[in-house]
This record gives sequence, structure tokens and C-alpha cells, in this order.
Amino acid sequence: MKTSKKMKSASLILTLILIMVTMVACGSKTQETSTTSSSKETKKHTFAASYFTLNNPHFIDWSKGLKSEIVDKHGDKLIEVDAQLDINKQISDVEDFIQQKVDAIFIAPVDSKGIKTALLSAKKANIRVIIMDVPPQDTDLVTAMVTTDNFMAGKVLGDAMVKNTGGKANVAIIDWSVVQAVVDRTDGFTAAVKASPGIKVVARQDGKASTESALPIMENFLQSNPEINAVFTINDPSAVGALAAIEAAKRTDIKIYSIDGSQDAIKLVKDNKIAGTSAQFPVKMGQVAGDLVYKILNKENVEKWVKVESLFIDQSNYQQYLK
Amino acid sequence: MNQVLSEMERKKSDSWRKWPVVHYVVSNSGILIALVSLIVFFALTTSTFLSTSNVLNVLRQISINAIIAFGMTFTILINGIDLSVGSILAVSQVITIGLLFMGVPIVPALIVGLLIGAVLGLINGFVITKGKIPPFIVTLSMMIMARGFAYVLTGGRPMSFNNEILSFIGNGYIGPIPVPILIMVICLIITSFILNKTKFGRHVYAVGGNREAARFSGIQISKIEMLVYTISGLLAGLSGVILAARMSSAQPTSGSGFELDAIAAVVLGGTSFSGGIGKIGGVFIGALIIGVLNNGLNLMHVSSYWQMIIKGLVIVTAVYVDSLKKKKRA
Repeated sequence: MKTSKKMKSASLILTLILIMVTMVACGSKTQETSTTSSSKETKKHTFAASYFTLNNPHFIDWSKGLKSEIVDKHGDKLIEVDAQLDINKQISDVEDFIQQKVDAIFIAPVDSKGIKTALLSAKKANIRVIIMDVPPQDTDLVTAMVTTDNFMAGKVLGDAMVKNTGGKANVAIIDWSVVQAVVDRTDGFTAAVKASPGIKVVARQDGKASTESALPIMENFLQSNPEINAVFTINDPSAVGALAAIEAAKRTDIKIYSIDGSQDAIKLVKDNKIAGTSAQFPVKMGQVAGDLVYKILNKENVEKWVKVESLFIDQSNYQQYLK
Repeated sequence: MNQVLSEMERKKSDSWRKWPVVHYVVSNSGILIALVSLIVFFALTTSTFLSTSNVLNVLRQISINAIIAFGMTFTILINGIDLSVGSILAVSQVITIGLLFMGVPIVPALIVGLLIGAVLGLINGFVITKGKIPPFIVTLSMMIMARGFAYVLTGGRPMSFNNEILSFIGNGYIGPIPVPILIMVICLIITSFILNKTKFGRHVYAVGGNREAARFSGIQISKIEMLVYTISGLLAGLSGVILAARMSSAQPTSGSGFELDAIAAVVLGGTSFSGGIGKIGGVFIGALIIGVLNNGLNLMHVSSYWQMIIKGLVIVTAVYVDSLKKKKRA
């Protein structure tokens, strides 16, 4: 008797969940039809995008750019999935896209090496892949790539540091060397400061590109190397973490140089809390990638690797970029 | 029950009992030796390790993990586990800051944030006891769901804020002591008191030591379980608020993997995975060992990749030494 009661309540819960799922599914369906009905083209395309994370404003902007080109301009469909920093999830997501026979796939790889499996599957199914933001190891497997010029982002940052410090600084680097794009940034920085022997890197540690990892690392740097007066962080979330540590220690002599150009960081530039941030233009990159996919489908000749340039935002020019 | 009885017998015949401090040092000596030798090692290899500012720095860095670990101790004592603490931490954080953004004053926002943590913990306990589902599975589901909830609430974006009360909680001082350390010490005293001096605490040990015997002696196990998971959730929520206050930013990804750091501290602290044995003081030492390792290796400029290898080795060695000590005594 008791068990049947339990069974009843369990099945009731299951039915409720199913009803919810169908409602959500229908809801999203109606949205799709409304966007497609507004366009004039005859053949409808479906594209898919897999981002390595959607919690970083950078990729949210990428998505805005892609949507403005694919959905708003052409009235086509774009399926978007967040890989949540997990390469295995990303590979299985891409394999799902292939099953759905989409016209092309945009990927921002979690892992430049590990993504190879997914690229091979796409090639086998004859589906074109456009890489966003992070170049993979096996570039021969992809149709095109759109990235920031990461080397340039590091270089303009290094140039700014040389200029502001008169070529003399004790630098701490909060790094994330497992990602090729980040390695390019630090290479650009190294190239820029090479000519100034007064700029010394006194501490360096991997901060996983996140605020909560960067905070204790910076705290420990302040203990071990109090002579630090400049910090190079490879992205804005790391800069926010480093700044929290510096402010808690009441050090006003340390200037942070970051990369990303997120709104949060530009506000910090405005309040004179960080020296500046090398801007990337993710919305523009998304638009470039969206535009590129139509050129590819129309069999036009395209450049394989499009690099969107970077520039250093500081006290002198932040007004133009603050939204 | 035999285990519980023999434990009590041993305690009674132990003349150390009159000297709680001495008794404590002897029964936790394995881990203490590990901690002291680490401290001596770093004091000799780096010039800054034992400076006052660095000691406070280490204590402040471990406060988040220690507070979560105190809650985790309760769940492991009753033979359970709580994998959802990292995600609950994120939900409490984004709800508190989200309310702040909506114009709610900070004190009510804080209280709601902490309550959310407790409620999520209570849901864990409720499903475990009423559904008779293993804690590992229930809290694993909660870990996934709560993380999703944190993403939904924020749309995936971090939220930066400026608030005086919060920056006092995260980075302020009372006298020479940073506030997060004080909060940790208060949690240490309260949880220690609950486990050692209250009926509920004794029941926790009884349920973990021998569930059947505890049931026959009239302990309401479901009540105990629900309370234990509520405590774990509440402390996770508290640590979430402190973490947000320290970073001046609430993030949906916050606390990923923290459950494993907390479990490491609990196990290092001599808590038995089979339930019924463990002390909050030991767990605090466990958290200290992890914090001292992190900080000391950073001061020595050891690369973060090697740090992981060393950390894993230290955890397994310390627990091994501790188990040898316990065998000798038995």
C-alpha cells in the first residue's frame, strides 16, 4: 500500500518535469519561428556555436556579435552551448551539432589540443568549422579562425608599461600558460619589454584566469616580493582579484596592466585603480566571424586566419570605450 | 555501538582527560607533527614566512576553506558527505549581491543569503532521509542544480560592487586581526561546542559510530541528518558571503572544487570516513596544513603544477602517519 503511494507521487513528479520540459521546448520553438519569418531569403541556414565558457563577459559579447550577424541580419538560426570549461562536454556538444546536420559550427576551444577529436568528427561529416578566439593545434582541420591578435595585445600592454615606468619596474605576472592564446600574450609582452633591462619579472604564477585564484596568489606575492610595483594579468577577472589583494594591503604604488577591455576594467581605469587594459573587441570579432561564414558558404575566397587588432585603453582614451 | 562504548571506556580510563589541552595534543599528534615540521621547513627556507603579516595572511586565506570544512565534518561524522557546498556557496553569494543590486539594504540581504544556504542544506537532508537516497548522489545532484541556479540568476556574468559593510567583512580589521579570521574562530568555537557539549553533538557521534544501535536507543536519525546538512549548507553560505566580500565581486563560478578542498581538510584532520570519529580542532589543523603548503610553496616560487603534486603527497602521507599513531595506541 505504502509503496504504491510512493510510486504515485514519484510518477506525478516525473509527469510534472516532463510537462515543464515540453513547455520550455515549445517556448523556445515559438521564438525560433518568429525570428525566421522576418527574413526574405529562400534557403534557411542553421549554425551552432560552442563557447568555452559563458560566464566571462568576453564570450557573452562574442555571442552578441555572432547573433547580430546571423539572426538579426540574415534571419537564420543559431544554437548556442556553453562548454563550462570542460573539454569533454565541448566534444560531445559538437558531436550533437553534427548529428543535427547544422551548416557550420563555431567553436571557442577549451583546450587547443583536446579539441582535435571534435574537429575530426566535423571534417568526416563534411561540416565547416570556424574557430573563435583560441587557435587550435591542428589548424589544418578547420576552415577559418577569427581571433584577437593576442601577441599584439601583450605587446601594446608592454609598450605602455615601458612608457609609464620609464623602463624601470619590478613586475609580477599572473599567468595561465595552458592556453595558447595566453602564451601569445605573454610572448608579446616579453617582446615589448626586451629592450628595457630595467623591467624585471620578479614573480610569476598560474592564476587559472579567474578572480578567486588570482587573489591569494597576489597576496602571497606581496609577502614574498614587497618590491613589486607593476602587475601584468592575462585577463580582466585576474586583474580584479589582484586589485582586491593590493587594496586590502593598502598598497597604492602598484599599477595593474591587464588584457580584455571589459566594461568592469574600463571603469577601474576611469577610477584610476588600474593602469589600463588591452582591449579586445569581441562584439566585432563575432560580427566578423558571422560575416565570414556566409562568404564561405557562397564559395568566396576568404583569409584562413583573421586577426582583429588590439589597443591599450588607459587614462588618455577610456571615454570612447566606456558604455 | 561497541565502537562507541570502547571509545567512552578509553576516555574514562584516560587520565589525560583532566587536562583537555594535553589530551588533545596527544590524540592529534600525527597531524600536529606534520604541521609543525612544515612550518619549521618554510621558516628556514623563506625569510618572510613567519612575519606577522604573513601569518595573518595565511589564516585569512584558509578561513573560507576552514568554515566549509567545519560543516563538512558534521556530514562525514554521520557517515555522509556533502558535495554541494561549492555550489551552495555560489548561490548564497549571487543572491546576497543580487538583492544588494535591487536596492535591498545589506543586512537583510546577508541574512537572506545565509538562509538560502541553510535551506538548500535542509533540502539535501530532507531528500536523503525521506527518499532513502545515498548522500553522495543527493548532494551531487544539488551540486549540479545549485550551480545551474547560480548561472541562471546572474546570466553568467560576475557582479562587481562597492559596499562598506561588505568590504569590512572581507578586508576589515578588528584590532590587529582581519575580520574573516575572527568569523572563522567564532565558527570553530561554536561547532566545537555543539559537537562536544550538547546532546545533539553526542547523537551525531552515536549515529556515525553505529546507526542501528543509535536507532534502538531512541535517537531520531532523520532529525539529526536534516540538521547536519542544514549546518553544512549554512556554513557554505557564510563562506560564500565572505568570499564575495573579499573579492568585491560575486561570481556564478565561485567555489568550484571547494568541496574537495574541504574534504581534504576534514580527512587530514583525522576524521574517519567510516563515521563517528573526528574533532573540529583536528579539521582546523587540516585546513592549516593545506593553507601553509599553498602559501609557503608560493613564497618559495614553486610552480603551481608542482604544488599540486606536493599537496597530494603531503595529504596522503599525513593521514598515513596519523593512522600509524592510532594503531599504536589501540
